[in-house]
Amino acid sequence: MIPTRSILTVFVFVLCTATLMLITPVQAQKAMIVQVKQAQIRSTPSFLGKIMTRPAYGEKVTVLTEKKGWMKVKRNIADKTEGWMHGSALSPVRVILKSGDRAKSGQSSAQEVALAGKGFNQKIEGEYALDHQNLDYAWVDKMERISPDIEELEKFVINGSLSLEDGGTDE
Amino acid sequence: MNKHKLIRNRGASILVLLIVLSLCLFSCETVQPVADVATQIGVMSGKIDEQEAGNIKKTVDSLSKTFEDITPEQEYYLGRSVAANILSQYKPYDNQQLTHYLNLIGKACSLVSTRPETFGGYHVLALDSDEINAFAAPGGLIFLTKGLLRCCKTEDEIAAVIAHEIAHVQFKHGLQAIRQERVTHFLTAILEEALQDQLRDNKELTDLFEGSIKDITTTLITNGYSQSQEFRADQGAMVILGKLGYSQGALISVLQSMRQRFTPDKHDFNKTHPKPESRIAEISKSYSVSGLYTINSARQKRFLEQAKNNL
Repeated sequence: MIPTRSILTVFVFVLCTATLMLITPVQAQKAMIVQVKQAQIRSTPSFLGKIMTRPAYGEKVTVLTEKKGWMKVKRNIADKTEGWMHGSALSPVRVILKSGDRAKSGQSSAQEVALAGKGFNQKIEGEYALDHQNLDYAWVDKMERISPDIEELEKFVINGSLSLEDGGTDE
Repeated sequence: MNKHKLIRNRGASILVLLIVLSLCLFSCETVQPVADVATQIGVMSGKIDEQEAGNIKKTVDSLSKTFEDITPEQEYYLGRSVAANILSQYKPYDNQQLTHYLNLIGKACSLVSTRPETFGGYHVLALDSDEINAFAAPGGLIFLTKGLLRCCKTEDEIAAVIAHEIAHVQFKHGLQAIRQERVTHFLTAILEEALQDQLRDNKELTDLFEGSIKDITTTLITNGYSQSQEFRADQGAMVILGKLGYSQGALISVLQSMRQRFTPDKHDFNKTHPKPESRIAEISKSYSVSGLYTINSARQKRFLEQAKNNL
């Protein structure tokens, strides 16, 4: 039994890993989760880029490279499409060790716990709305349906001598 | 307790201590992966069992729970109910042409922000009120009163006020209004639910939801954000205007108009925001712009047709 020495070795390894995370600007091949309701994978790192496919909320993608707030990703499902997503549409995979080995079906392995749909969700909103019947969600729903399409937006931008070229960049 | 178990527990304790120590050396952003790696190594090497690993994880989680851990989906549901509360106090201004125009400006501004994508996206609605006011619910539901829109003399000035509200969303100022103990309680509850695969009591979550909505709504409508958050939102707006090609002087100009139109003792921007002159002074520290700027004729044409004529 050599617990203390082994644990110190583990600690040194962990520190080295953390240091690498701090000094490495681009972490290739990391997994991210789609965290928006309507996501798109585009052909170029731009909101004007052609939409190649629409990954589902909660889908795991592999990040191949990063560029000014955009991430080149690859889908892990059958079609394996590669393309660009903005970083704000993705969040890191949160790994939580569980006490039992209860494999989850679908996109999560036994060591991952999907937080999608947990906590504040449609059901909780429904219960809150029942207790506050003076609130009208009809206009909130109506508001959410208002969304100009990208072609119309592009015309609006060009006609107004504006530019979306810096769209989504961190600079 | 047998000897083997004792050594294992000592091992787990030392590992917890070392992980907590690493908190002092690295940022919170780094702690999460560090904890993940450490616990996995612990399990793989047999030094700790999975249950202990779970306890370690919980220990670290309890040290790193902040509003940043609220997921975009949870933020979206909070935002919807905050919006419903705003709409219980202010009537929507149902004008299709104006709404469409505001959403084109809003969409363009959001795409050049540092947070172009939220769970449900950005949407803008005018409120039928003479008050000079604007609100941004978490997740991107933005409201501007007719009173505020009447202060805007150009499209650039409408873009300036929308960009300011988008900046509040991108910096998650609404979520920061939730009391910290509520955030910790909520995140602990959902992590426990996830770890134990057991559904939580909905009443507990509904109470937390209700409390959070109250915290945010009170801040938005009654108390206002802190002065530093307002200044930061102005800085965010200046960046958005600059990237898109709108005149940054438009923000100064609309603040000057607001200063002229404020009515003392009226509940509006005046009660919930720093004085326009303080905001202009703060912006002037980073940008040498004045409220005078060149008006783009194409933008002014559509502003007059789609906004001015409808107010």
